[in-house]
Amino acid sequence: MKLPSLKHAPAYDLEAALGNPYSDGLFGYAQRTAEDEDEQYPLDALRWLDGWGMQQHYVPLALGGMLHDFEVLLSLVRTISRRDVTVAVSHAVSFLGSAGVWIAGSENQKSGLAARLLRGQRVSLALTERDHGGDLLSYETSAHFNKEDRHLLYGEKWLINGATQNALVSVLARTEPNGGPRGFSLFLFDKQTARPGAFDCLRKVRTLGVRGSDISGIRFHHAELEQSAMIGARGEGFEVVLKGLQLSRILCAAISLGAADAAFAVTLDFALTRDVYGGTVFEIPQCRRLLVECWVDLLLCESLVTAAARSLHFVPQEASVHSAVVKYLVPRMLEHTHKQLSIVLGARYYLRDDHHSGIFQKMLRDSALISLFDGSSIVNLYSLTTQFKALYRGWEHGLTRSSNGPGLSVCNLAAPLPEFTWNGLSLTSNGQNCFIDSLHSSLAAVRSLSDSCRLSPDTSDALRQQADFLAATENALMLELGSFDSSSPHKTSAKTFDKAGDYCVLQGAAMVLQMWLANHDQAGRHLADEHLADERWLALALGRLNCCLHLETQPNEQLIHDLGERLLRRHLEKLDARPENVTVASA
Amino acid sequence: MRNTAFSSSGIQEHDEESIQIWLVEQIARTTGLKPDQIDIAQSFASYGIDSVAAAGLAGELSNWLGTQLAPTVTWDYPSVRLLAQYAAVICPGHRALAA
Repeated sequence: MKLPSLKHAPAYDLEAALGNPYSDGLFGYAQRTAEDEDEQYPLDALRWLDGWGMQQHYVPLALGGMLHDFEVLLSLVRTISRRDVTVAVSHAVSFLGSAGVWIAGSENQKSGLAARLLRGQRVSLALTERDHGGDLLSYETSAHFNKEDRHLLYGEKWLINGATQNALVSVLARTEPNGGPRGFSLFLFDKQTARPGAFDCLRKVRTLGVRGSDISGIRFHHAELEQSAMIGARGEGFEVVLKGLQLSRILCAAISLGAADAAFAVTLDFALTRDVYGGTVFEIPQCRRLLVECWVDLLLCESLVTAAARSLHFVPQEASVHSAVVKYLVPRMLEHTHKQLSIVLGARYYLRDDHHSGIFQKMLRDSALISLFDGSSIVNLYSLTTQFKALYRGWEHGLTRSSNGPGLSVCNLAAPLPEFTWNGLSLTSNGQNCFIDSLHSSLAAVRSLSDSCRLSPDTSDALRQQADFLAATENALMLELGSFDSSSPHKTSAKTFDKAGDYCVLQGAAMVLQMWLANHDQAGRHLADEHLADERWLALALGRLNCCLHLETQPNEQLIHDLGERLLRRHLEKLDARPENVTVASA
Repeated sequence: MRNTAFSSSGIQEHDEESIQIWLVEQIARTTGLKPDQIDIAQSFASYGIDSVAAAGLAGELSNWLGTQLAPTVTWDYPSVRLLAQYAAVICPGHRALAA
């Protein structure tokens, strides 16, 4: 039987090839933070990764690349992120930019793009505009069809990763003046074949983190697009982009994980070597607890990312749900992990040159990007609310299941992955959620486990307590979801967003439970998987997730609304009272 | 009058009118409007149902009909009238409204 860890051989190889992070090498933290201070585009690092062959992992196997297993891709991206998030987003942008072609492109388009990626060219995805962010259907960049069988592209895309540096740009453009979900198409814009003056690139935008990355933009001046530049059918652009984002959102969670890995490593190093009050920092119980909790966070987020990656192969039609859940939950949890680590690291978390070249503060700033881009937290939570009713039905159906649910099959690391089908993605999961639908039976299994006499009383009690809490949450929450009707973010109450957040936590718990239940018999043979055989870890992981739930102590929504009115009035009064606003007559 | 019959195999059938009524009820519930205030020729978007929510509505319709519809069906048939017409045709044992 192939043991799980062998699958990650490419990531281990990459980690070894990147060299010692504490050295002065290209991928050492000293070099990474120096380039960050200079806001330097990481060209050398990107070219090194090209030489190593990383771009092959964005191209499907059938097209001459190496992409066939999302667990492998995610572990590689995590490995790069562990050195430098700027490098990770600047290189892996090509996965985001090419996904639309793998999903909906013609055979010629696929083979053409594959060849260019394998030659080392990069491709961006141009969605957002200065006046329009997450609301895709508000974009103004347009492509007019003219009588010569060509489109003319005009408009401006802003805050685009790689817009200046990359040779190719996938552009979502309005092809019907009235827009709507069938009013947009996706085009592959090739800078190398564009006529002079067809486009120009916008200035680099300075950011809090990933300071060396090329976050810029591109302006099109009636740029000609051949018919062959359209990806998928006319009017299919919105749908194709949404499907591509399902994949990239899971990739984002892996980037978060890498950054947190690095922050944890340098903090643990500090805690074990720094002497305070006659002992190490680690020996102070509060610091030890904070570190252990962060370690649990890392391992549980790893389980979430692994389960999500595997679900793409088993149930690609559920990706709309799993991508929203991990994109919301993982970066959010790990932001909290960074905060908790900073407490242990103390003053050194705030310094830019000290303790391994100040890499902690770079990771902190860089990782703040992940919950924001490629669909913010609000966008992901809202998309879940539109599937609430259907997800409730799927859960209810799962209650009557007596045997192990589908979640366990997905999480069994020894089971080979089915081939990923690019055309298996769907905009909704039709109520299916392999993890939530198996939650009830998983909780029953954990309760039996907690009754086992080989566990210590502490472990038994902790497991039972977390399982009971989850079961109560599960029942209360799912019943509420069953009666929800969605229409738009403006009409969705704040409380509903909280429910969506809780749904993500519940699913996180389901994924962690099922990763543990599916593997605990065979795990523990590698140091990396020990936690998947340890009931104590499971109890702590469930506890960390339960802490993320919204308790019923939230303030009354009417009070928030009323106070909001008062806030607005005060703000306007202050504006009126400014000297420049006082007229002679009223002075 | 709602026209929902059962085929000989016991599968519930829906005609165009009953699908229209069902869709109007969904919009009424979402918007707080009364059913008779809803114009079946107006787009779902004009009632504040955005595209992502509309894909969710397609799923609810699929579930009610007992037939799998694509999540994008509310985009391609973006009003009550157009969608009911389409759904009635592809429903097993369909019966369109009399001309």
